[in-house]
Amino acid sequence: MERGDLLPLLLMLPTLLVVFLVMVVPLLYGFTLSLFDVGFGKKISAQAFLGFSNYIKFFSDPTALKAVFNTVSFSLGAILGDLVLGTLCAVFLLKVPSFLSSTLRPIVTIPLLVSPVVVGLTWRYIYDPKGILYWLLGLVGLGIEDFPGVTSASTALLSTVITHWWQVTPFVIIVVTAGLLAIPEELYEAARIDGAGAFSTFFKITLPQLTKVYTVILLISGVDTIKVFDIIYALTGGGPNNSSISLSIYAYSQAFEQSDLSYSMAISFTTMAITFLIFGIPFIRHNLAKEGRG
Amino acid sequence: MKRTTKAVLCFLAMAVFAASFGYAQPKTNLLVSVWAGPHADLQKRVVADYKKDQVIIDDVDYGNLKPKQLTSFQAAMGSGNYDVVWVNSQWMKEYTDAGYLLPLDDLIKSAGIDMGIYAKGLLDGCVFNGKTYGFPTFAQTLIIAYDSEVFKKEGLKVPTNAEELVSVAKYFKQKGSGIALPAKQGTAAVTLFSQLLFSDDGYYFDKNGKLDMTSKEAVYAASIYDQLVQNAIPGVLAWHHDETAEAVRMKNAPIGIIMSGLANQNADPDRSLITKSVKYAPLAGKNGKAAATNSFWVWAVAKNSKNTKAAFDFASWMAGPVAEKKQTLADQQVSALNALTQDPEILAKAPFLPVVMEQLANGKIDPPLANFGKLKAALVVSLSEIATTDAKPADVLAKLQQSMAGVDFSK
Repeated sequence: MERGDLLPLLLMLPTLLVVFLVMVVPLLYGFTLSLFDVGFGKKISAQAFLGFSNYIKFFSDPTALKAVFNTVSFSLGAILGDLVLGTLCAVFLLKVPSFLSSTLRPIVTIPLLVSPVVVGLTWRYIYDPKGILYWLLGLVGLGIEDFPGVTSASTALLSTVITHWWQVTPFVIIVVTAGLLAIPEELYEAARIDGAGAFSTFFKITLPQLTKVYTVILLISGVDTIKVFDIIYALTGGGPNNSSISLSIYAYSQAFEQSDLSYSMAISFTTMAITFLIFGIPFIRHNLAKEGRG
Repeated sequence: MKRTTKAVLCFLAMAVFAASFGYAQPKTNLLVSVWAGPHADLQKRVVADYKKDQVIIDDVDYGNLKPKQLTSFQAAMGSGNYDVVWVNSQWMKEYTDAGYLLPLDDLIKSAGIDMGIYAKGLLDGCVFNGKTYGFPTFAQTLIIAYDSEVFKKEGLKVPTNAEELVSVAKYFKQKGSGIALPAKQGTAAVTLFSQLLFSDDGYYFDKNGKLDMTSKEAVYAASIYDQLVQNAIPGVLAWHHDETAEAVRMKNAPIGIIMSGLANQNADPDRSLITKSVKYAPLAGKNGKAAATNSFWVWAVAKNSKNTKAAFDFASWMAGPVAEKKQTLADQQVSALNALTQDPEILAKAPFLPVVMEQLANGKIDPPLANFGKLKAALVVSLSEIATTDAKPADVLAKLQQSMAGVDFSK
């Protein structure tokens, strides 16, 4: 081996070491914990070894399965809304006069700067029967009976999704705007010459050109929403009747309320596996296909 | 001569200055963990009077308090971990089992503290395996707060038992408001259920220690809880203690089941619209007896503290008569010191104290069992199911009993 071959490895070594210590070691430790019966104050011992019992327990635990359903529903609903609303807003902001868009764009990005817990607490007041939402609904003759918000098992999860849209749509607006600006103007000119209408231009030129942008958003939002904790915790605490409990909230409650660190770790690793299955594999396949290896 | 005198004086001044540094007792830095909120702000003001050591208060919101304390207990001694912890009585068993707290008996003995000054029912919650692990303080219980002017105007009597309470709630519901109570999925609803259960002399377990969530007392308590929620003002299903107390204070609800620790705000003209008209009544069961779920806080010393003696001195001072009276007068906290409950100065400031003391006297403590947390977590969801669906309370409790069949409640 030449001396030059080792140099890149040596240069990367500090980074690899940091990655190994702060990512790989805690992951391995967490996985090890999930194989034992360990809580706060209890140490890992041969007697506490459970093997994969915590993972088997997960798939027969009705609350865990409900949490999986809720988490996936939240994730899909949140991403779908983010993409639709974000795209519509981004297109709208590009179509309006520039003085208006340059004023509106910073305003609509404000929610992105707010911490999710603060967003959750703010929306708790919005959803309060004396809050602004029910005041607005009252103007059109609707009330809490028509949309019970966070107080009903049927609408609690949807309420958290709406809150998520409010916060994350600005991120999609920013990214999609960048994508829209990158579309060559010639394509639109050609469409106009060919007599294409606004809708066919949007669906046949704009949307296909945004595919790469959507892939990035899907990956970032996907990972972000699957591990959702703060918004739901602040808004509903997982209720009513566990109707909005997410995997992260369930893992948290097992660790810090039940002192069952091992089961909490098993839930967390299962969440990681679900994230990988839903978002990781399609992303890898997409990349491989792009490189012509798929 | 003058020069010599000056030199001698300078030398003496320097010697005194140096000696004052050399012999002064160095102050210890104590890191104290407490629950954030108005009471923590008061604790910070009280702590300013403690001159023996330097005390740093770390106030953390309730949701993160226990996780942060648990993390601190795992830390190495002297690595910025807590010296003194303000512990919810319901966490004491877990903390002592895990060996996180220091037994204080020897220190109490050498300091000559008479533990008889504390209410026995609360002190018992600090003793595990015959060892004392802390000083009780800040007892809390759910009580009824109502707007007496509204009651007078409507010609209503103050409810003296659970069924009368439901009737009053129904009356106000028909009038367009209702009762305020904490019905969000969480432990506040469990506290309410437990108080109703204890008030009818019921408990989670039967005489043989077996789980008994289908007893007639438990079903009755769940059914009263259900009826109260059905006759509550809109929004209670998203409310914990704070929102409930605020609804009563702001006249949104003419009656509410509030945590006694928040009752002092009713007398604050900046926060309350019922300063003159608020009155209190016990939260009674079927036969008019009112019993608390004895919930309180404990000043305890972390076993991994580097300064256990200094930490003990501070904890005992904070739970002692001077600091406790100051806090009780300032925010009407319910102290565990027997003498303070008879103090006329305090009774004048805390009109709800007799109600609280009546309930605490009849109160019970949640069992110090390793798996009780599992029952409580399941009860949280069951009560939410009762509150938000048409399911019958008896059926929900039967389902809960069945789901707990494999859980060991023997230790």
